[in-house]
Amino acid sequence: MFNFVLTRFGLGALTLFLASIIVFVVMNVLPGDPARLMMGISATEDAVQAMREQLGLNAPIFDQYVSWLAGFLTGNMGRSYTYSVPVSELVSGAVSVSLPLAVMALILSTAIAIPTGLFAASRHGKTADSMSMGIAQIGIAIPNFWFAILLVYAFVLLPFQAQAWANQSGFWGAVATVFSPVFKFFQWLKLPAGGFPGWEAGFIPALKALILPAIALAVPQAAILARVTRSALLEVLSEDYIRTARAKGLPRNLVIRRHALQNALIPVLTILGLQFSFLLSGTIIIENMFYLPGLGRMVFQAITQRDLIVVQSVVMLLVVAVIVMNLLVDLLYVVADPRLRRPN
Amino acid sequence: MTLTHAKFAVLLAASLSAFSLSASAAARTDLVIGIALEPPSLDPTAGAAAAIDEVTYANVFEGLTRINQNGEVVPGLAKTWTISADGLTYTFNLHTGVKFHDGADFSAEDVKYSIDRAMAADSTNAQKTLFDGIGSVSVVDAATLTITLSRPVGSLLYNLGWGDAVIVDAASAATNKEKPVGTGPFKFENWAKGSAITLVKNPAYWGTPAMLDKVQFRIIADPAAATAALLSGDVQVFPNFPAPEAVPQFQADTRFTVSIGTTEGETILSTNNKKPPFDNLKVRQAIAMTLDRQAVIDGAMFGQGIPIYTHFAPHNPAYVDLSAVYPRDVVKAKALLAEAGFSTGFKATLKLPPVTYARRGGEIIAAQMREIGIELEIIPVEWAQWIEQVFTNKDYDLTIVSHTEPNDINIYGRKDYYFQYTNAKFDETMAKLDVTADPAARIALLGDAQKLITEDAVNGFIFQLAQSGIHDAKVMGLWENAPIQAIDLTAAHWME
Repeated sequence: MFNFVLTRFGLGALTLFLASIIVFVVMNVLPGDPARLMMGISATEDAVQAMREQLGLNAPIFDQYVSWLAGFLTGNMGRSYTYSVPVSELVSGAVSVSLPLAVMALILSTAIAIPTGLFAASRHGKTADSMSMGIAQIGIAIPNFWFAILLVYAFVLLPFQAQAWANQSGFWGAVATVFSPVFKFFQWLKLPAGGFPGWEAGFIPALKALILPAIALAVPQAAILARVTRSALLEVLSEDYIRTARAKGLPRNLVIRRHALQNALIPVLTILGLQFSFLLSGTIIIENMFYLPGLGRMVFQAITQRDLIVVQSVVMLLVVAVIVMNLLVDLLYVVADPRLRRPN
Repeated sequence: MTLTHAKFAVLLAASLSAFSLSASAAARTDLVIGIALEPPSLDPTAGAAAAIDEVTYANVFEGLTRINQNGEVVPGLAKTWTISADGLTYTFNLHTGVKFHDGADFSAEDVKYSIDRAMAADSTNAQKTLFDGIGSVSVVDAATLTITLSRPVGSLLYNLGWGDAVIVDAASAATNKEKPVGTGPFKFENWAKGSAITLVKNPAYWGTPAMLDKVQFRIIADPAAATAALLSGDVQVFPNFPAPEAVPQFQADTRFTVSIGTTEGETILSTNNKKPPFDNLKVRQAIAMTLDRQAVIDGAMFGQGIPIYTHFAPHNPAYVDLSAVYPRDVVKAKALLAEAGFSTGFKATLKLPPVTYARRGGEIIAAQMREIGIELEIIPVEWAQWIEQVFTNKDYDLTIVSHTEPNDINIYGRKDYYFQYTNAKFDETMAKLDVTADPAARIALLGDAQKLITEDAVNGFIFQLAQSGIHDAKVMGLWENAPIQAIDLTAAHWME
């Protein structure tokens, strides 16, 4: 066990080191001078040169790399070229958005997916099974940015507009009147169409700002997870020991809950781990749709501005997060499957 | 089941009454403004990004002079000024009792410091050329200052009104990037990176106080998100709305006021004048004659924009209508190409930066050029690549870009500028303009300059960028046009 963790950490450190070199080389091969980008096309060359000097871009590339690496290892990630504030400050701000968002989305997706998967597997081959898997199929097919737009319309804009419709006669007027309590509820709830007020604005406002993005992120993930849960369960359900359990008279639902589910968890955990890493780093589009100041958007912006120092530090942190996440999943395997606890 | 319903209804009713109570009748004093791009810093004297000026110009920082909504130069921190007969000495009388936001006193020393700092060898001022010709700045007393020029500079007062020439305090200059300290009617409060910048009213302002207590600039780049933010009321003003296609929706909605204003952005088909075959005047003339400007405006900008025929803003008093020089004439254009030796046309590249007008306009222009046999290969580039390949290394044939600085026709005289244009006569005109202060004479010279570059068909002149400003109909006192890149909130307020 200890050796296992140690090996994982060793591999992780190696991955980190390689990633740092790759990011550094790629960012330096890409055309574009951060100083010129900051100063604009009408700046004179000597002003740009002065900026380059100020940013330390005139030092040899190898020196830049070494000084960055040394700083990173001692906890000093340097200063952003564009914002000229410590990178650690930028990153901690972005993490305070991305991490809660990822956790919320993950909880939500698990809460939807596991019961759905269980339900579909227990009704295997019946209408309920094909219906829930059909819905999951739609969930996978819907691009999440489009889903995000739909959510904003349904929960933020529609309640406002419906007020006017309710006063009209005819079919849609009647529909709007019937649903008017729902619309009024959402008007009162006042979910923002986007933006993040910051945790200092209070827990409730900040949480409200993350609800719609979390749903937009969670639904496609839940759809995938539900399918995985279902097929993992079905596979387990065809095992001999399940037949034995049933044969000794245990009810089907109890068998599924007590004997099948735990053994079906391994593939589900794998997907969950992957999804969490994805949610943490790959939410650029959703962050843009809801203009949330998260990690994905920060990296994207830093790349276009050639803010090497930010890109590099964030990529490093994401690599760390992914490695830790994978390690965690490996450890959870052991919890889920007692067979893995035995040495060797 | 029914019980839960009843509970829910009671809860709903209670919450709804709370909701209606909170909407009182007093005029609001807060405003949320949407901007598409986040400023990289908040120091207008050390960066070119328009977003810096949008947030800080006139709101946080002030200069000796300022440029108003109509593009005119009006007094700023300088109350009055006198110009010596030879045009070489400017004496400024400054406002007294002015304080910086950190409580420091403003005096002539700060002005001297700011100008000297911008002109210094290690200055990172993006518009250093604004200060060309300034010989020395000397403090007479705390409220009086003279600027002595080494040669007459006709546009000095205008130049000093730019955001890049605002007055900063020596004590806070180094930290202005992150925590700007100026003399304006709004004080900087907070910058949540990637999210929003908040300013609050400066209670100790020396001039007419601001009418808003708190303004927040919220960064929303995505067009769909910008639309939703306005519709939901989260954002009440979007001075430069990023989605022209969504504008009709707001025009039809009485809750909003839409203004299609002018900007200083000349959108041009920049041409590499030294690279064959574009070094041939006839080829450039043929391109000028093939451009269908209105088709680009309609197709790429949903009808928003004004056709231009030279590098000058049509709303500028010095603008000359040159639409008759090379009117659209495909037959003649083909003949010109044939004369130049390209009767069957040729192939070239069109590098497009990641902005809507360029990406959409580029497709349309490529189609138009195909009419005379010029096959344009479209190469999308991102800004960093554009600056490196096109702007710095001049490794391009054609590109589309908007030049947004006001009165920037002088770039055609810059040596080794990316157009690669040289014309001794143009340089001569610019040199004369530099030393002319008389407004009528300046207008005549600017007219000459416009004619020269149009006749030489230096670039394909396409259209003047429009700015669709959308705001809540109850918000008053905003700029409609953008004679400089600013979101001046000094007069903004809510209707009672």
